[in-house]
Amino acid sequence: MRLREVAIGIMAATLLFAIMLAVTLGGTGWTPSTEIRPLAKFYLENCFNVFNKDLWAASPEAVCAMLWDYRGIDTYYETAVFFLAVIGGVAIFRVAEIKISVTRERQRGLSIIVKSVSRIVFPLIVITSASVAFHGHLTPGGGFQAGSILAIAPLVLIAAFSRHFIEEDLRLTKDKCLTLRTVGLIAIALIVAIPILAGAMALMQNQVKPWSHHFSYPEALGPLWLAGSLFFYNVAEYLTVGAGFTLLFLLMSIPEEEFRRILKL
Amino acid sequence: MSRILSFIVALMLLFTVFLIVSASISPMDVILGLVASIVVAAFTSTLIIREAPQKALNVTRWAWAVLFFLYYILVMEPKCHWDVIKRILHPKAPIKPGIVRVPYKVRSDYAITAVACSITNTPGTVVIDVDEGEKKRYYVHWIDVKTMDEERCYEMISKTFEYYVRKVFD
Repeated sequence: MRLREVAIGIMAATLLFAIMLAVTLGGTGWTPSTEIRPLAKFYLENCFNVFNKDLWAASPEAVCAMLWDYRGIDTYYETAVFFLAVIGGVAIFRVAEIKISVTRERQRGLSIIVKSVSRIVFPLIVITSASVAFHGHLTPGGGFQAGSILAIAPLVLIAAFSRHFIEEDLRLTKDKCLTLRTVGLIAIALIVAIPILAGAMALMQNQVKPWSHHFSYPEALGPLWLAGSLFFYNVAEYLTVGAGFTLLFLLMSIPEEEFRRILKL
Repeated sequence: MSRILSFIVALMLLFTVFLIVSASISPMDVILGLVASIVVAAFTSTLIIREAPQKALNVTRWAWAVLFFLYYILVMEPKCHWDVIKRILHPKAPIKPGIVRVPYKVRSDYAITAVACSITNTPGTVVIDVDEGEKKRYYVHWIDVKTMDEERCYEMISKTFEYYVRKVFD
């Protein structure tokens, strides 16, 4: 036993030393250059170029501008695929009514310490996610990331209290999640289609382009910098992803016995 | 009335956190932060505040909270750290671990939580479970069990925490 531990120790040390040697001697392969490459330059020039607004996206956040403006259709389909995945989840867990006995469920959950902390942490996670969503066009983050953060909040409550607490006390049922999710996706579809309805030449047009002089989402609304459609996309995506993940968490937290009971297995 | 006050307290907390997370007090962040805080506070004010919301606006309680924090960080933590450091570095590792019962006398949920977190956060003691039933007590893992007597444990582990926490939360 003792010999084995020593052998493991020597092996681990040898491995670490080999990795260290490889890194120190520069054996990690090709490293990107520190100069700005032509493609990056192109993106930087066209995202927030205040001197030449021909191709700009009105957003200093290049990633967000690319995601929704340069390759917006791609992102839209990504969201749609996620929507289908959630629909698939709902279809698999297609038990209409789950009635877990309330009195039994009330006494469940973790200790009062975990519950009290979760009570405070829950709203703070939600407000943090809102901040990430609202700044998606200015700083790293955005709709999907904010939605993922938002979905953690109900997950914390499921762990600390119970699934029942979310559905009964917060009145956040899975049907409401599905509605919220659908509203978000419809909002994205509307933001996509409005430029065409307003006479622009392209779907998902954020700002006026040289070949399409008709329509442009507002850059700013008073003190609010909207970056055209990007702000609205982010908020809609935030709702969509947050409600979608919450719905999945709610479905997955149904106890197996309940399924067996309802499906009479 | 207390419903509205709860809402206002929750709003203040959420708005402050929004500004801290956004790291900005530009007009844009103030507007968006207010909108988001109002929506979130409307849903969660009853979740955050379970008892009298005016406690959160009481200046004396806040002063006690600051005092407790300073005393905790500057005096109690270093003392416990030093005790555990000595045990680690001592060649004989003089530990006598065990789980003891520590009764608590605070009343509200947040007070019970605050005392438990204070005990856990100091090195050497960890709250493992809490009994909220008839016998109100914590089960505490102690690195050096000096006594099994509940009242003595209370005095040695949690009396000072309870003194401050009661002024803040109860």
